[in-house]
Amino acid sequence: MRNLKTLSMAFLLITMAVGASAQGPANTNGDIPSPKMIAGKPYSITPGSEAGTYNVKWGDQSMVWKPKAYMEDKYKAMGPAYYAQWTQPGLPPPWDVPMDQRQNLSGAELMNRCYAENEYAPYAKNYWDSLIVKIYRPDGSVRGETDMIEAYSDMEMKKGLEYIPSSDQGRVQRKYIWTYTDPPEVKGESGVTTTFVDPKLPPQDTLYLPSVRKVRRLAGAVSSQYFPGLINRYEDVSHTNALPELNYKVVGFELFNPDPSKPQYKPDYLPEVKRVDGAGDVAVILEITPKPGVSWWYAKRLYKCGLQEMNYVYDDAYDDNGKLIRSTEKAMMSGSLLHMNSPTGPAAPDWYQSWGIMSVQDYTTGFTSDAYVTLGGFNADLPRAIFTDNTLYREPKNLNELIR
Amino acid sequence: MTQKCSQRQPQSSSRSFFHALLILLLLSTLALSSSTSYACYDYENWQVCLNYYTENYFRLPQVDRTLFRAETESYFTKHADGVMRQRNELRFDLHWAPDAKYTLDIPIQFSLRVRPYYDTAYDLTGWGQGQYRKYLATDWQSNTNGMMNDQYDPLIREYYVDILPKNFFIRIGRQIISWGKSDGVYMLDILNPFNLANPTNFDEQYNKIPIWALNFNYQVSSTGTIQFVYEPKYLPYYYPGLPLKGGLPYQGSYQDFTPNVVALFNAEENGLFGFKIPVHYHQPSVAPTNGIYAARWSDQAYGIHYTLNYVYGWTSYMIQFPNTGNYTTATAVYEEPRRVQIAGGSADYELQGVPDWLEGTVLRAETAITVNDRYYEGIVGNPNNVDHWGLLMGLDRYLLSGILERPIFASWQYWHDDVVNKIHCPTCGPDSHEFESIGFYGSKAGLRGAYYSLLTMYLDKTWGPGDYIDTSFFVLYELQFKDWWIQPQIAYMINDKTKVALGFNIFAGSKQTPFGEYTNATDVYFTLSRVLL
Repeated sequence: MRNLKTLSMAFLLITMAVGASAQGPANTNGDIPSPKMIAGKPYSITPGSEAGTYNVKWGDQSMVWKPKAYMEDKYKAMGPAYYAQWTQPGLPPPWDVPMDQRQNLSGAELMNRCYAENEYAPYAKNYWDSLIVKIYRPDGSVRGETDMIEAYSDMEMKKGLEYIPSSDQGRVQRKYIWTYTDPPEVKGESGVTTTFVDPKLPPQDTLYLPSVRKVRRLAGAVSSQYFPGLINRYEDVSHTNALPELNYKVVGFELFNPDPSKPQYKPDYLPEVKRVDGAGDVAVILEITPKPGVSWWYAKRLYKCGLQEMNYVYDDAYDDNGKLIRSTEKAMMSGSLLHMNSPTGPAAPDWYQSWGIMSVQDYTTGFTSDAYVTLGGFNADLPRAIFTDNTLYREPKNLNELIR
Repeated sequence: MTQKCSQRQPQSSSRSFFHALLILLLLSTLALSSSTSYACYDYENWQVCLNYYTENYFRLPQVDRTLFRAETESYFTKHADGVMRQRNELRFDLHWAPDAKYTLDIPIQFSLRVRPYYDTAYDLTGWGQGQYRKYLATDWQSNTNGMMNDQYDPLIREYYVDILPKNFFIRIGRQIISWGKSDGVYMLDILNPFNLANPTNFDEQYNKIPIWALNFNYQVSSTGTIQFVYEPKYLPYYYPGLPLKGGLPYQGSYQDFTPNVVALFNAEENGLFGFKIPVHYHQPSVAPTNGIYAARWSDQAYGIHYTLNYVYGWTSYMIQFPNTGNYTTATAVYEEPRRVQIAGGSADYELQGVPDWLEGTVLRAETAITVNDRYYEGIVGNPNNVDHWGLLMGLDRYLLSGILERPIFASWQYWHDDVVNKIHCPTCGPDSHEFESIGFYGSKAGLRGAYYSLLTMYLDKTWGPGDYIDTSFFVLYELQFKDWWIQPQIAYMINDKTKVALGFNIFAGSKQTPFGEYTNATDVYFTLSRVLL
């Protein structure tokens, strides 16, 4: 009997070890070579003339990659070679398309992969985080600061199926829940976004207002509208898939060289918010335009996504007259800064990604904004009905209370 | 019998007035100091928040009010003056979520909301409501006077513990439980009674009276939840004019939002007909047999979010029963509730894949059948057993989405209440198939039919980056009474810690209609909230 117990324990340990290794490819330590060709052109990374810098070439474009204070340690040490870990075979969506075929993806599919899948992490049961959103006046002073907690789940790999009823399987693609935790005027305000498999259906939203303690369904198709109290729109936050109102077209590729005049790319900008900015990757450029007859907040948006890390890194939005009305920088946070199972759990595999940080410059009003993750992770033991009114009604005060 | 009385006493209240002014000035200074830092104080698993809130209401029409004075058993007329309300409130919230390792790995959270308030309007004894301080201050000036006011505006407003085993949500303690999908008018949202001292404030966590309850929720599936609620103590709706002293109402109709029907009952009981009619008040005691039991199933299917609701409860209001069964011969009144059963449901649905002008429109509905309720029938007003069917239908959508940077949220609602049982009341006098509305003051103009309906419209638009300015416009129109309530408001968030709002409540309609009766209470109001900690 005692032997049987020992044997059972050994079997359990082996099973756990196999389970752990089945989580995905190993983390990169520089042993995964960068692709030689990207989007049909030769790509190379060589050490730069200054220590810690790299010369990156793609076709006839080149740049010098320089380390910056805000960069994650591993990325800072490896330079753009760091992105190669998202090119290895065997990775789940959004990286499951071989590197040499990624440039052939349609605009809508790239949109889905570079933002929606990247954000909702279909390879995990769930993703969750706490974040801060700061809004600045045109003079740079802080106008407001909002604290928020959120959780995501994606059904593509069936990891999140426990969060939707069986009748919604094949119908619901993603679920998202958010709650403001500060300041008091908006504390407790919260909502749920449901994204559908059918690309013709826009996402649906509910909104809970603590002043009436009721959940109301938002009058639909709010993708282009401002997220409550922010200068970000639903399109920036949870409606991150290809939307039925918009056309997506690949219009080119470029070696992504962040413009140092943009706030987020200044070396000393929010250095405590560690991030991976996409510099030195080859970005596909998507042109996003409203479909005929659709009125949208922009007439055209040029949207850039790093082809190796499959992450949306930057966009410019223009009005009908071609005037630049908004720029957005976005850098990801890699798995090593995130947690598994709980906010104090072990680090996630490095190839896991979080949306990280998003900075918006609204040129019409002069207001700007930063939103960034302060604590995040994957695979919490969430209750099955987390994406329902009950969670909103509870008014969770912090991340622990959201994911329990 | 009517007595004109328009004297004022500014001298006697000048000190209080200047104190109040000083407080307001200090708070204004605080409000204008910029702040964008964190609001609450967090330490380990504790969170403490302290805010200040004030609301100030000033009457716009310069009118006289004719009121009944119990002492002389006669009417008198007096200038109403402007100051209606100056409520100053501290909002102290404490939240503690002990580490689950100390709670058998079951997450547990404790919450406490304390709301001491003081209404300085009653210190201005020469103005407005302060003129009736003697009758009103005991109940409406403060909840820090040791009375606890726990029936309607408690000092310790909410206190509960949340017990959260996985897939369960159990809340025990004094709390607010909101049901339904309506705004401003109610049908299924019946678990918490309302404090109607200021019926114009939409903030339901302010005007709902918290109940003691066991609120048990089990998440049966990822979308389906079964809820059971047990309330051991019945609390009635609380309204101006309700309290009794020595078996008689003592607030008369002095409070600005006293409904006409309450004013009339109070006048009759206080000797309008030359003799007093004592009231015997009986609120059910705390006992399992007197408890309120409720259940709700909520789920989603085919894009419809729906609930099915049932309540075994009591009438919302205390009902006044004449001791003889007939008010024409009554010598005493028994004030007590009656058991009711309410069954209903709610649903909402978003239109998709429809023509553009309909796309994204949200349809809402609530319906409920209430059995064994009591309405006061006919001019005599004998309470009669009624079964009534309520229906609310709402339609929400954004307007001018393609034109405005921040479109207008628009909501329209239709609400009706229809008495569906046959009633035969030979003692109810003329118009015995009609019922006294809250605006009733003795004539047919204040009666409603079996079918009674209204419409509401709500528009809301935010302005500027961060939605720091919010404008809203609410209109309520009653189809049979043809009376109105209109509330425009503008709110501005000065910074993360300070918010101010300015608005108007405009009432119109004939004097015995539910909203027209408040025409003289048409007002301008100002609110300020400020984070202190």
